Amino acid sequence: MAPADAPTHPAAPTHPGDRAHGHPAADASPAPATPGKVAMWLFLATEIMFFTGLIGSYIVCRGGSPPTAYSNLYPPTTPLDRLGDSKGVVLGAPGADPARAAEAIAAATGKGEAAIARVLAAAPHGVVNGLTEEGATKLAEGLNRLGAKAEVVSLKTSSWPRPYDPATNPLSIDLTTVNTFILICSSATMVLAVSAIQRGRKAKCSLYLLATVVLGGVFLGVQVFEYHELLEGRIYPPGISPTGHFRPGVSLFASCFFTVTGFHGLHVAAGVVTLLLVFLASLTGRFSSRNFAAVEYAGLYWHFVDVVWILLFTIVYLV
Amino acid sequence: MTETAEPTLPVAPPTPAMAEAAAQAEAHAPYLKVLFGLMVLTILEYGYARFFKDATGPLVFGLVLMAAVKASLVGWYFMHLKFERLWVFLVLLPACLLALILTALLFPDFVMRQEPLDEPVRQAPRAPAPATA
Repeated sequence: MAPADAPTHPAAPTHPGDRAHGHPAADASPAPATPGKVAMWLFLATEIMFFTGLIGSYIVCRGGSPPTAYSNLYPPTTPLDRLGDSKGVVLGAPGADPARAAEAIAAATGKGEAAIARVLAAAPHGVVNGLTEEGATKLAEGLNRLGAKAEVVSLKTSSWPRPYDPATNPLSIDLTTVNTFILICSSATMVLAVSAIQRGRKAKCSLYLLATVVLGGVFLGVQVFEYHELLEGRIYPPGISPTGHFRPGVSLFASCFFTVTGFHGLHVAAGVVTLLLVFLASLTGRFSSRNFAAVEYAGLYWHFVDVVWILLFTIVYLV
Repeated sequence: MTETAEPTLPVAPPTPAMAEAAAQAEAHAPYLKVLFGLMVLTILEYGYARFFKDATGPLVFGLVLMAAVKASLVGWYFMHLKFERLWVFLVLLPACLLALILTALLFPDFVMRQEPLDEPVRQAPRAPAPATA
């Protein structure tokens, strides 16, 4: 068995021009096919299949969703056959006296306290549903007289929650765009760590690895925050969830969202732990310009996780 | 302990010219330029999704295209596929082919549906007005 500090890579050839550009050596000799690297790529090939299955299932669920599965007024999968001409009132703001607004809603709809509290908490996207045109107009006028901001809306349906539609889609694209930036930056710091150790710069490698771990941790933290907001932190209108919370059981979209992003999050978590171990090993001086297989393999995995997120961000959040 | 030779794959070693070319290219690897490109593409995606949010066709086409470019940039430069030999692509090819076949097999499930996509909400049948004497 080879010792732990045995070289895993041949000495990289140098180029005279490299020094002039501040790059003393090449990042890599032309990719030696070590058994470990072959195993890593085979593993990534299985991961491609895994995520293809997940994303494919998501697309089928989305494509097969009936055109009236989601609406701006009623919870997902509500049979809308008899509700085609019903109206609703969107509460933009409850005004200075929410109690009076609640009374007005109760008088117009007969809804219970809990349901009305959800409408008020969901403002500026609170929805009072199940109204006739006349009832909705009267309620909106009454609420506006009380200083609230309310408007009458008609029923609109869709087969899947549309992006940027707060009545059916609770996902924050702004927050996730920032999170995507963070993951892409972590991918860049990762490749810079590999580049540094290939040139024998151990301290720089450790620094870049630490940056990657921190950025990966921030990505996970933002995802946990997003999950908390969806599951507990906010109250959403009925078009998103009948209970006000976006949980896996409330709709097919919710179930698909948590499955796909949850599995990706698990992969990110595994990557952060792996990178943390690699970072700690780098502090002991274990890696060198001829022995950096662990850094390289961890990097390959991390970049793969980044590639998957790039696709998920587009398919789940933006489309 | 006797030293045993590392098992090697049947891959031809690079020629000095290949090594030189790869080394030169790799030393100038434009990682920060790629990062900048990825950032710009992400901002473009964000703006594009806002602009075309109600036009499904252009939305899907444009966003998937931009995502594919971003994924390719990460794979080509960050994962060093640019400098890999044929064997890596041979490892990835079956997985990508199977992924393509899987997607193609799923395609009828969401394309060949019975109901039209723009099915309107059905109106409730109105009760006949009571007859007056």
